[in-house]
Amino acid sequence: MSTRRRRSVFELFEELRNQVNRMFEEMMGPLLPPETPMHNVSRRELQPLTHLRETEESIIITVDLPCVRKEDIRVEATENMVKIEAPTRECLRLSPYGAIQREAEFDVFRKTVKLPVAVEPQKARARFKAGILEIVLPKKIAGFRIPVE
Amino acid sequence: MNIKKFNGVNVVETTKIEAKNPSILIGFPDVGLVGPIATSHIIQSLNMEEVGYMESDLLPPVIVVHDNEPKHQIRIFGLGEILAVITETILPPQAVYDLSRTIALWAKQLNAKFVIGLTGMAVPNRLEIEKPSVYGIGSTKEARKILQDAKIQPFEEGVLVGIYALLIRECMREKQPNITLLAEAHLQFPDPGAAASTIESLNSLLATNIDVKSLLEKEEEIRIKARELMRRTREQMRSLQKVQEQELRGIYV
Repeated sequence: MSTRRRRSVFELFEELRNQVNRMFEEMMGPLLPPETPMHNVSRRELQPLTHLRETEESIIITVDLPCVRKEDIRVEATENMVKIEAPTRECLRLSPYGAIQREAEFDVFRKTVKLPVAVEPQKARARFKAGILEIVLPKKIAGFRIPVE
Repeated sequence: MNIKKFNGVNVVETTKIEAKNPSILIGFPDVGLVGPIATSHIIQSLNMEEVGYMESDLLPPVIVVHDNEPKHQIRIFGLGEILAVITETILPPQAVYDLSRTIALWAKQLNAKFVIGLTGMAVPNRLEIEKPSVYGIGSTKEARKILQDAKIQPFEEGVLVGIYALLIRECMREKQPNITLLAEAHLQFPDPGAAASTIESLNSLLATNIDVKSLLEKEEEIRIKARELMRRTREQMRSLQKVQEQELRGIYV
């Protein structure tokens, strides 16, 4: 007598669903957005490209902010997060593309960056050059010196 | 229509390619999107005609719609002795091998003078660089001599990773001369300035006179529109371990 348990329709369906999901992920993986879309039409905001790198002492965030004036950029930092808001010089009208087939207007870049380690926000410094914002945030504990015996 | 079948990739020439020894420009997404930005500007400036496309089951199920007209992902443009291959979609890593092999074989069949890869080289201090320098790699002695004559600085030592590396490798395998131009560029952001420098180097290489002023004037617009493509390119570069290019691991002392 076989000891194999007959699987229920639900289990078979679950397995089939998992298989389809796996195939879909394999096929569409490179096409799926790694994050959310980089715009919000109703809030008229664009998400800028950001890059975060870590050195021994600091977290350095660079943000691509074309069409922005230095004096309009607002950066707020806490120990674990940095918020960037940068109104554009003028309203950006993007012609129909992709999911936005109506002309869409944007007038601000917004981005919140979660930091991998705690920083000292009051010691942060920032500069804006060629449309790129660079924020340097010193780490809260940059490192203890361990005496070598 | 002429369909040329290679390893898993078809090159479809919708218009007869009359060039005798074409130079084939390659503009695929990579560091700073230098390739697609430069190639797209060249196509527009020279008013190049769409002469074909590449198709493969290895490519993701994508069709590009431009001016209400469906287009293939990888399109070929031509004018005289210049051909340009361009895509603005991300090529999956599994397609990159067959595609670069196809380009090398197709170029050989066309008796191409050079396959010219246009790309960027990520430099950490890009913000401090007003005008990016361009470095050249030539796969043959003749290619290196031409680069030297065009006063393009040689890329002396280092590692290339990704489709442009494969293109060089496949061109070497097929004995198809290859030149790769690498402009100092932002790794993470679209870099029209680096694309402009690449075009200027190409001008001295091909004796063309493609103006980059209009490209630099549209720099901010390009940076805004290319954000999503850059984000996807970053993901792909991560999967291809592009970071190796930044490593200092010289063994020749």
